[in-house]
Amino acid sequence: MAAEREPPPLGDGKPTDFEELEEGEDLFTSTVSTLESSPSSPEPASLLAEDVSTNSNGPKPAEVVLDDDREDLFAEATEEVSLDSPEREPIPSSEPSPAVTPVTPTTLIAPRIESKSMSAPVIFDRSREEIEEEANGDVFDIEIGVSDPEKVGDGMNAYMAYRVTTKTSLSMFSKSEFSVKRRFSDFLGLHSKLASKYLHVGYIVPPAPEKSIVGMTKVKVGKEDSSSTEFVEKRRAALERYLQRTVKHPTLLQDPDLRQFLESSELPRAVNTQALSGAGILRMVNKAADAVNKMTIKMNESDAWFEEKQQQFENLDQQLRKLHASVEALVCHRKELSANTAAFAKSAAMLGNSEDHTALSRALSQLAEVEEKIDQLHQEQAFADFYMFSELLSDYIRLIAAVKGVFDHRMKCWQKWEDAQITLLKKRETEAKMMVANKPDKIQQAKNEIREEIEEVG
Amino acid sequence: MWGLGTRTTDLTANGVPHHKSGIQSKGEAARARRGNHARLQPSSISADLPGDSSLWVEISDAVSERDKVKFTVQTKSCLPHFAQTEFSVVRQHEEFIWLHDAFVENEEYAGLIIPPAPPRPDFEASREKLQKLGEGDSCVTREEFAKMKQELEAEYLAIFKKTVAMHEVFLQRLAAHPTLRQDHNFSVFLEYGQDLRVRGKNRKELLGGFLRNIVKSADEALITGMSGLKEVDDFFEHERTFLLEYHIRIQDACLQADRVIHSHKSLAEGFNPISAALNSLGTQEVNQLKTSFFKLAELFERLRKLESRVVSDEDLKLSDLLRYYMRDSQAAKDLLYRRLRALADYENANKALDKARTRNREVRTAESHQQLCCQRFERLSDSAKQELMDFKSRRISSFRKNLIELAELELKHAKASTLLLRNTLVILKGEP
Repeated sequence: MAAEREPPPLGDGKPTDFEELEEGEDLFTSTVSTLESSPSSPEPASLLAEDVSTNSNGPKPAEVVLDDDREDLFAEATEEVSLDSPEREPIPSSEPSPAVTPVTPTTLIAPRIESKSMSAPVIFDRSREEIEEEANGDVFDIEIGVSDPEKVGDGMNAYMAYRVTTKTSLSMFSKSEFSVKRRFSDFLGLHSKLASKYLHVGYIVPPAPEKSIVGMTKVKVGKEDSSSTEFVEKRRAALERYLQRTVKHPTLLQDPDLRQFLESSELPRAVNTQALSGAGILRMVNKAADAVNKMTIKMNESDAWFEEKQQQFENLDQQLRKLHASVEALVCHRKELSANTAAFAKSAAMLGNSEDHTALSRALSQLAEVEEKIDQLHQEQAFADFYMFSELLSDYIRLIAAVKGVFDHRMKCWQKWEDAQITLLKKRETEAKMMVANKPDKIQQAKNEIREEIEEVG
Repeated sequence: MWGLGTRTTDLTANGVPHHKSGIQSKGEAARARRGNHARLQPSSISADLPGDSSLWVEISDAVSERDKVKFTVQTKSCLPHFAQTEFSVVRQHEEFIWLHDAFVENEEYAGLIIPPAPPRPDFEASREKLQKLGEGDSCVTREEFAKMKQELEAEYLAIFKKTVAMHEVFLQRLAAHPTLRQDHNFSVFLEYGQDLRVRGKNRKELLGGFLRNIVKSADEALITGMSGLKEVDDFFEHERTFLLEYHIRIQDACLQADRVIHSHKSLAEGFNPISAALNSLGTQEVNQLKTSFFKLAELFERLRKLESRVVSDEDLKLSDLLRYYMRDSQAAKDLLYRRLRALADYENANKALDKARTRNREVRTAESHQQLCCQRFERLSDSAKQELMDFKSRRISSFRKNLIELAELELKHAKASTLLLRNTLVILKGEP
């Protein structure tokens, strides 16, 4: 049954989705048959439905609507299927989906769009999670841990392998607890795959931690000093947070690539993420082109909502950066203080030793002990400051960068749409000219071109 | 006779050089020992000065001009060699140094621990910061600027107060010491209304001082290395080893304490930009997040104030204490050196006497010389013993007082900050 339900372009994620829901609601088994017909319909609607998400008419969290659907009647699930299907295809990221004419699905969803409050992505994540939890008693339970960094290999080819442990009760995974070994480039590979699939549709894909050549070289060379252990610890924590954010996103969770990442023991090496590879250079060139584009494109912001949001994000970004810088300075000072306190503790102990009056000597030694404890406390505090405050801030700064990326992408789509429209106009003019000149074959050619253009615009 | 070196002064105070007549000094000494109650000390560094109302010195006022600080030294005394009972003069730092050096170079006080000279008033760091602030930093908001200015002014004031206290302690120790207080230079310093016209040491003199130090330490090494010189007195032997080690250790501790204070200060100041950034974040947000941000900003602001108070207390009680006793132990070491030198001279005189006796020439002069050396040595040893024991008791009580006060203050501040943090937590959590 599951196989039948599967519409051709869909990945294997979908059926299990239905299974989940089915466990809760047996009533809907009768309606299952009706679904079989619907999958066929989404094909023409699919592209258009995609528009919904990138359509600037409504708020970006159109995805939120999908969740709502899930908790509602099964009938709504048809929309869900159709809306989701495009994502399932590994669509090459170059294909734009400019929004033109919304279609029937939108009308159903439109009212819900209005009802959903426009919340910042920060709270966005959490509200989605709540909705998930409310849905059919299905516990959104997936815990991911990244641990045990191990150095594998030697010399410049060495790398750190991290153990990714997943504990889940979601049925889409084959086991409830499993762990695999992954290296940093695997994480980056996952991110690039997810980004290519979802970014143009308007989702915010959580950004992966950055590459650090200096840090990794130190580790590779095998320097066993505190800075390299700190670096490894920092990276491990960042990877954990990255995975946790990614799985919180319900749509991303359904992604087969993500599941493969979490489950399969062997993963094809993502060579494209290497800094000096061909793909890396291509990325840099693309980034430069984007930067130029940003300066030249002047988009007429027709939607006040977007304009306001963009401004908000700019401000938020600036302030977060300032705060982040000051917190990092604070952590640095505290570490310095802790080191100095330790030195003073030793010094006071020596002084206590050389003092010949016994009571004073004892007092000084106690002072030394207290100072040592203070040093420990400062270290812990610095640790906490760093991992909870500073890293959190930098994560949000990166998220905002991702949000900005989505905004930029939207702008690019609009640009392409404009271009396509202009070309369409030109082609129409040519066609008209041909008609007047009465050259039948040219007319046919023109008509073909027009059709192509319409398709592209549409 | 006064060993003033090459520096000139206008010494004509009372027109008559003051001699310590036996009766007078005994009477004064007796009076000193009678009134041995603890006096109210503005500075807690030397807690145990013998109280005596016959000579009261304090610095009642201080003015800071561009690069000089002028102290107003007020004296209240019923001692006969002063013209009035109450008078005050204006002195500068160089004149304090002159007085200190006068004591050090005076042979009569060789057996005493000369109170260490006060450090030069140093407003450099503060002045630099103030200048930088004045030059203007455009990315700093007006409130931040005002806050930083306030902080800098407070810091300037704190340094100022400290230097006044140091100078005062120096004078008060001199005034309390039964022998030192009677010094002629001291009375001149306290009384002479006009400028002492003491110029600061020029480069030649500084170099001279530096060379003298080198010679002194070489000499010391030579003397101690001499096989013939054995320390007869166990007490002094013990004191010597103790002081040497103690001085090194306390120097190190003082250095480390300074570093701790410095980094703690930058930590406290680091709370400021965080508070400002949180404030600006708060203005952007709405409702619950907004109030949370504002509350956090307030928390950091208060924490900063608390932390700076902790830092200044630590500075006063711990760092200054260590620094003062570092200098004091250096002075004690100097005393021991002088005694050692006298012992070496005595030994040399003995040898010379023996040589003279064998040759049977100049026996008389050798004998008298030897007598002199012997007397000097014994005199030094006696007073040194007394001084060193005083030093020990002074040190212990001062450490005790300061460490207790430090602990109490730290407790107080820690309680305040836990309360503050807890309250903020409650408020932050309480809001749904």
